[in-house]
Amino acid sequence: MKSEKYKIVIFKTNRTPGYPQVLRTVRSSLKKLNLNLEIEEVDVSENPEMAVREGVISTPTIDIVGINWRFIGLPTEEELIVVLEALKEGESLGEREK
Amino acid sequence: MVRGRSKEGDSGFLTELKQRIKIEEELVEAVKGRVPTGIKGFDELVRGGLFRGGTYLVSGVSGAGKSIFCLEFLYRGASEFDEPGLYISLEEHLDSLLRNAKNFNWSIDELVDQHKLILLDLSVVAVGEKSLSLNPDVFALDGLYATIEAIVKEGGVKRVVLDPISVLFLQYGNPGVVRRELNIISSMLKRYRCTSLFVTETEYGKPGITRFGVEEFLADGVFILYWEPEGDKRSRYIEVYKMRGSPHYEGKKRFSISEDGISILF
Repeated sequence: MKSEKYKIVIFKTNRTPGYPQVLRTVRSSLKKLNLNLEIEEVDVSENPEMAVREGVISTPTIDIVGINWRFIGLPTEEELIVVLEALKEGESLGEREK
Repeated sequence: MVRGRSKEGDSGFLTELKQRIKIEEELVEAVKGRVPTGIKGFDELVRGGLFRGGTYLVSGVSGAGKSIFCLEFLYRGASEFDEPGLYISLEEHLDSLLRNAKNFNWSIDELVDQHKLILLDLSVVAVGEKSLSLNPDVFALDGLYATIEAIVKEGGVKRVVLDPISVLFLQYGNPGVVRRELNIISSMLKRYRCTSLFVTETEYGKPGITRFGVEEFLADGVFILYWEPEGDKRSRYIEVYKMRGSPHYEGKKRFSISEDGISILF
């Protein structure tokens, strides 16, 4: 079941260097943690108002919505997993409280 | 001064008159396509103003007056020359800038309300409470590009200030890529015939006109602001270090800052 509280937003354009790798890294990190999160891709050249609203200067920029974390640049899988584990903790707590 | 005419001097008189007319015509041509900054005395230093669509670097140590210079460039553009402006703060929170602006007789709030002046806060503070992880070796500044282009198009902006670009070099760590990306932004602004000021910093007492040594290569002109202690006071100076395609005053000029803004002292 997908979490509604958390999602991953990836800001990019068609000029974003290393973008396929970013997507692969995010997907493999989620898979390793068995997390089912929505991945939203935002092309800031087509949605500049989102770049303004979210203060996105460079791409790739990855926001982990729900835990207020932002990656600027290309994260490694290890770095993503450390942050996503905190999210997973939060999900587990939420489930236990239900 | 025209000399007195004599029969032998007729040809000399006409020659001098033709030369004076030629100089006037050259000045008129030179001023065409120029953007007056409106900053008192500055346009004389650059022989009529900046070139439309050009990118100019405003460099100097902390407290030299760079942000005031740039804000006045936008203020005069919006209020006197009907050229809407965009100020992008990359480091200082806008509240701080606006607080400083209240020291001047400038109706900034009115221009903002009329959409003649757009102030955009992209400082770290504006990003809010997010925790940040930075891996800035592989990046493109296309978020900044998209933001600027959208606002320029929608707002009919003709003057842009990026303050300061040095924070990009510090944050992203790869000066070659930052320079390339800023060149791309600069080219886009030129296409929209926007005249831009990019602010950068130098460190007091250290050589070099810019902190990272590459910023000046992306600009059509470089203006350096600095202060020098004179006895128990400090005096402010400005120098047009570079001005592509135009003669300019060579050397430093004192300037003052009053409630009306900057005045170059002749």
